[in-house]
Amino acid sequence: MFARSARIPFGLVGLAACALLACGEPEPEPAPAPPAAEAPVPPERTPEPRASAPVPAPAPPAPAPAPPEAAARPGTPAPAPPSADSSLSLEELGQRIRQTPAIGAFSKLSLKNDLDDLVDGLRNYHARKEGDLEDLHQRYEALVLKLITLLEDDEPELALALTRSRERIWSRLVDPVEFAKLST
Amino acid sequence: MSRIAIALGLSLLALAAEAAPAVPEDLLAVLTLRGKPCGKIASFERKGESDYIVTCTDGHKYRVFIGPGDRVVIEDK
Repeated sequence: MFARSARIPFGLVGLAACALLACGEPEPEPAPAPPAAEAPVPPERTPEPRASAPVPAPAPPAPAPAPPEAAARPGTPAPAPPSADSSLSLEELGQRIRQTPAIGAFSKLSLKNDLDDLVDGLRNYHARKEGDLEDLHQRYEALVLKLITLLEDDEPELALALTRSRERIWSRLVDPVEFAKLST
Repeated sequence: MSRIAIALGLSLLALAAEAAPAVPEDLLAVLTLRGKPCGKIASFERKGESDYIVTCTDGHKYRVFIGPGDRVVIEDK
């Protein structure tokens, strides 16, 4: 569907930041047509935890040595192992966010609009070495926060992965070399 | 046999319906993302493809649609 999206002349085709969101996402046409008159809103459904799609497990962070007393204490529950996808690459994150059913089509497109604006700002910053990087960082953080908020109920693992990856993603975005790589 | 097929079909439909946020939830989310006060969605009316009129419980009314450049546009009504 999102044919219009496909026609967008993305200056940064394949930009990982773009990959974070709805590139290729179906156009917001989610509605079974409501009745001609105003449709009553169905009662709010409480989000139920859904099994998230299996994710290729990236290399987990180096395991910390277990404290000996924890291992020695019988009956003590072992500390939860780090989630398999606790640290995802930008591309993996983008793919998962595009595919998640936890965010509606309008919301994805709105976030993508924000992201496009942010990427434009970063592109200008890298091209001219001027601009307010702190402002860009705040916009990035706000965008990540919105995403996490939308994901945390239905895709807690993805929200966690995003939380853990956000500094690394930002460091790639502000690095001109990395940014250029993402742009190609 | 046909009963099984019908039951299976209904189950699949139910799963599909649960897969994505419902329209009012998505509309409320996008209003929230854009900082538009709303409360909850009282009602919505589809005006066209990706074009909705939303009435909020706090009395605000918005048109939410996709404008040029595939940008989500929210107009106060």
